[in-house]
Amino acid sequence: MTEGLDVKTRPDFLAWLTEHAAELADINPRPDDELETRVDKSFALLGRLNAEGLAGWGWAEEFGGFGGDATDRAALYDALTEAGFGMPEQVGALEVLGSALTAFAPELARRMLPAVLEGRELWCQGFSEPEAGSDLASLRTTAKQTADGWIIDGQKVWTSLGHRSRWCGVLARTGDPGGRHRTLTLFWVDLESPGVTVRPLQTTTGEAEFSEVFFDGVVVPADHVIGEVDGGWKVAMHLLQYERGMWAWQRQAIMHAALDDLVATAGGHPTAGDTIGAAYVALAALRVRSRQTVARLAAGERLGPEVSIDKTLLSTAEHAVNDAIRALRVNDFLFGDDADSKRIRGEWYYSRAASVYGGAVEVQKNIIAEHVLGLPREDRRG
Amino acid sequence: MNNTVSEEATELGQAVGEAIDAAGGVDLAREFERDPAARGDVVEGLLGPLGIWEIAPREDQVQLEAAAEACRAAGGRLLMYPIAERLARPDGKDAILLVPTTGRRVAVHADLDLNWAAATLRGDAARLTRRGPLIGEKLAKFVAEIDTEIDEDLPQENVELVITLQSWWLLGVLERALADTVLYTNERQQFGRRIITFQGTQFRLSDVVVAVQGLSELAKYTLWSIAHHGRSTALVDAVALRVSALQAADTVLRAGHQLHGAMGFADETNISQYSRHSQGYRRLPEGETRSELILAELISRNGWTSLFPIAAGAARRDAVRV
Ligand SMILES: Cc1cc2nc3c(=O)[nH]c(=O)nc-3n(C[C@H](O)[C@H](O)[C@H](O)COP(=O)(O)OP(=O)(O)OC[C@H]3O[C@@H](n4cnc5c(N)ncnc54)[C@H](O)[C@@H]3O)c2cc1C
Repeated sequence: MTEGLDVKTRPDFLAWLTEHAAELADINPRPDDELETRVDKSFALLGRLNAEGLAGWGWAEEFGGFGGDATDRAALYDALTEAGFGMPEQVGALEVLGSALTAFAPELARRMLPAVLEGRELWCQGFSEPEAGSDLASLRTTAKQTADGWIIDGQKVWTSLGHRSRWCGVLARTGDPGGRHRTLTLFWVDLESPGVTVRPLQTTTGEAEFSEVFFDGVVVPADHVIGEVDGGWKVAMHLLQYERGMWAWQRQAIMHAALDDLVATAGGHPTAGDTIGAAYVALAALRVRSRQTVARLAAGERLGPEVSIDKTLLSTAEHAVNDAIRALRVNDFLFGDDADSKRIRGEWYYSRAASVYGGAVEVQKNIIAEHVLGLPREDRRG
Repeated sequence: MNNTVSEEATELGQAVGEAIDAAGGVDLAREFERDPAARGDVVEGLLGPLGIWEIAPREDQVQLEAAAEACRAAGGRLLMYPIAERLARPDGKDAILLVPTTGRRVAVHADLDLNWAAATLRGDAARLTRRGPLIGEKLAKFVAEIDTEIDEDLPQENVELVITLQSWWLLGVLERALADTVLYTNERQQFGRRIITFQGTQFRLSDVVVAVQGLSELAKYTLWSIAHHGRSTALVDAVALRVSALQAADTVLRAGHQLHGAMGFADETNISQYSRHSQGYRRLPEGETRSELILAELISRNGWTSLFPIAAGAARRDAVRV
């Protein structure tokens, strides 16, 4: 499945994973495991893959990696799903925050990345707030400078895997709130600090996928600023390329595996051909686009607003693939009590969220219209 | 046909709604999820005094409309109780259960200890031979195991009625989901304005209104059809109403989730409850595709007498041309 991703110096991930799949079965974070189990296994799996010289490709040696670029990471994600592994839970935030740390805070990256690659830690992204979702620039969490660092106060919400994370990339206001995106700074915050409270939220399917995170006078050292003070928006725009681009790549790999499974079990359902065909077309479009994006990220190109196209293709493919699974496995979806049925329920609701997280689809369309096509801004008619 | 509902029926609907609201409204669904065994007594206490079990929907159009409005009001509060099944009970039974023709044998609310009649969406009468426990999975909190046998000797009664009344319950859920979504987008501020003021949001809500209004008109037509046509015609119309309700549910709840943003995926939000607890009726006894297939089968067997029969019109035009 890795066609188009140039293999340079890295090992043959797929061959290694296929050979060791049985041996690693106990630490495979299978999509049908409960979330907490998936996280535990993800730690073990990434640690093992790192020890074997696999996980770490795509990250520079100075940060604890084995060298290479984004295509190496993409190849590993692809190979994992192709060899029947679940996606390790750490790699979503690793892509997003790792890219910000390495580009804007190399010293922190040197200290922080190894713990994730070695399977000891998990990170989360603290951007959204109750009053700041689509309009991220209106966020209210504040960071006040002290003699030797910063004090953070405020609340984040929908923080994926917040309850299992050690570190959080917190976007906070460091100046006049009227400054919107000009007075934001990204901080690297230890969630074990005094004053941090994490409360997991129940989702529709019952998994505690996201949390509320409260900061009450939390002390952050001066060298935990990512990028420049008041330069948080620039860092956020940089990492969004990975949040929208690389995440789409990871999800397409997962969806390919899910659609493969469906094809194997669809049987004689009256609309199987139609439904699966439509899903496959959406998924193929996503993969082709996403492969190009990964190559451009690897080449150090700045993608900017164009990556909203990837995110839009992602939500279309998520809806189509998971609607197909629901339609063709309706009994499992509704009341199956085995682990796999729970997985398809969870995935279906998660697919609905794909048009919301990482920027709602309507917002992506605005970006495409205004910043890719250069159309006039929507009339602000209050 | 008559597409307004009588005042008596509207009033009963209001009374049912008020009674459920006084007991917590949608929160009752949360309570029942924790303690499903309580719902029989609780609902009896709420609706019994209103005399709703005395309604005889087969007697006349007013009583039929009253039954429908009661179901709609119950759906509007996500009342997880077989109100449609009880109102549509055949003589000598407490309620009528719709059972699947394929797949695993399960039915919504079959855990309740009632003297159940049973039937399939095709209109075949069935015999309920076993009622098992609730399944209890996240989307099937009120779905229970059953065993059934098709029984051609049993008189086939009230199938079209229960299908129709269930669709009225779903209509209530969808109207409520729409109202809640309008309320939420009207209050939620982003970019310094209420998100309902974005044209993207308005288009989406307009699609939802069109879906719900269309369903509501068809639901009223189907009542009239049941009151005025023979059983075979009414069954076709009832299944058509069901298909329409399933399609509308998809439009409404998809938009509801989207417009609530991440909030829609937090189970404390009502939209998450509507989405979760409506799954039972939406997928059982048959999901959308199978309901459509059954509809096609019934049309070819029973014909389709709609208000404006297309086939008849075509024949007339052909005749003119000749
Ligand atoms: C599963 C999941 C995981 C998440 N994980 C994280 C995380 O780890 N870290 C984090 O910081 N955040 C996370 N989020 C939050 C996510 O970033 C926000 O949900 C997203 O930015 C949208 O914000 P909101 O939910 O407040 O929706 P709102 O901004 O309130 O918008 C609600 C809806 O209004 C409409 N809308 C909004 N603006 C416009 C517009 N300009 N034009 C037209 N329509 C519009 C859209 O339909 C939108 O869906 C997660 C969300 C989900 C669902």
